[in-house]
Amino acid sequence: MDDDMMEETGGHGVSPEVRPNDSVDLAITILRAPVPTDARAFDAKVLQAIRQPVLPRVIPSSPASSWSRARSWTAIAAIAASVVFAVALNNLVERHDDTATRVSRVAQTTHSVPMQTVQFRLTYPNAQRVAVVGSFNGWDLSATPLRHIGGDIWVADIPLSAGRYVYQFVVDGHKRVPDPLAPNDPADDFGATNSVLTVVSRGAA
Amino acid sequence: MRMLRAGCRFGAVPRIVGAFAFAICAARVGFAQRPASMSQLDGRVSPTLRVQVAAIADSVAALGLPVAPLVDKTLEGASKGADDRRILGAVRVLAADLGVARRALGVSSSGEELTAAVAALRSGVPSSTLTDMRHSLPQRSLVVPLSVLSSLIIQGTPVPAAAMAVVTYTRHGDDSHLLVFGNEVARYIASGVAPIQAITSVDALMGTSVSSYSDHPPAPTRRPKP
Repeated sequence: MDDDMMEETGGHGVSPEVRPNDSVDLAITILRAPVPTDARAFDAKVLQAIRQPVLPRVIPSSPASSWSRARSWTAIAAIAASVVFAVALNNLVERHDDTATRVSRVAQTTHSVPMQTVQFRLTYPNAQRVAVVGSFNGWDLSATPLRHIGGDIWVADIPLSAGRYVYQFVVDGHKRVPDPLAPNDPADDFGATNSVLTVVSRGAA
Repeated sequence: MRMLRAGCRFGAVPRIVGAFAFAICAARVGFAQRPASMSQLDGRVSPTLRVQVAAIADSVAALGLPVAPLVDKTLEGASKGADDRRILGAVRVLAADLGVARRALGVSSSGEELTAAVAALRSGVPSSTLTDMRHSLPQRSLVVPLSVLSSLIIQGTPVPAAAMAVVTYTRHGDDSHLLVFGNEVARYIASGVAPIQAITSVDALMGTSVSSYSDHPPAPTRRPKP
């Protein structure tokens, strides 16, 4: 009998068909048998799973998650602080801009350019007060008063960067006087002659 | 765990520093993009004039021209008591002159150069002479040369002679050298010396290798690009 079975199986050892009465082999046979499936039912299950709404992800409370929450709070705090800082910095700059109608008007545009102190001097008899107005101080009558140093001489020292400036003196608040020692500006749009000052930076090429 | 938390605290530092660096950059960009100096007009001129000047400034800025000279001209007019109509007219003319100056000097010219070029144009320098100067001195700022040129011409020096002298002195020395030359020529002219003679005399005193000045404009070192 064994020889017959061997012939039926082709001589390749144990096979479910060989010993159907063996319970273990029977179980193996059953388990190895392909499971019958309904293709349409399987597709329906997949589609149903897809249609289900996605539940929010629940983060379990653990040391690692609290660490990541701490990171996110740190980032939010940093961003909030930086926004507050930026607003404060902008306000500071704006306030500086508002007060920049004095000499700092030049400094606004030439932060890194070295400044040179230029002395404005006017000799004017019987003047009560003298100021200088020009493109370096926003033509502000109150920005740059000259100081009386004796006799009829008035002076003011103003830091300026290299460039070309136009200006004039204002005596007693209303009398416009060009600098007698400086060339005149050809552009006279308002009927009062301006003087020209050219400032050269030290070591300019 | 302790190391992990320490690492967390340590990792937050560069994050905060980076955020503050970003904030500083943002603030600086905001400052840079703020209109050049239009805020200077607040309280100095009427609201109507401010709006009109701002409209011109916007157009000028769109063309890549500087706005600051327009603001300065407005403030000058207000300081001198000119009425709004006159100020606005001066601002319009200046805007047009800035365009002419930019066309003569090229798009790479600075605002200061354009302002000096406008003064030169108004003193009688042809725009072609400005173009020749730009191409004769391509690597130099023309602020001081144009300022000295304007002064020489206002004092009666013929344009070709003044332009040649300025270009020659700019090539042979620095701006200080040129300014001393201009001041000395002005002193000679003020004392009654004829402008050409004043240039020749100062040239001889300063030892520059240019011995004579003709009425021909300076030859450009290379042909100007359109």
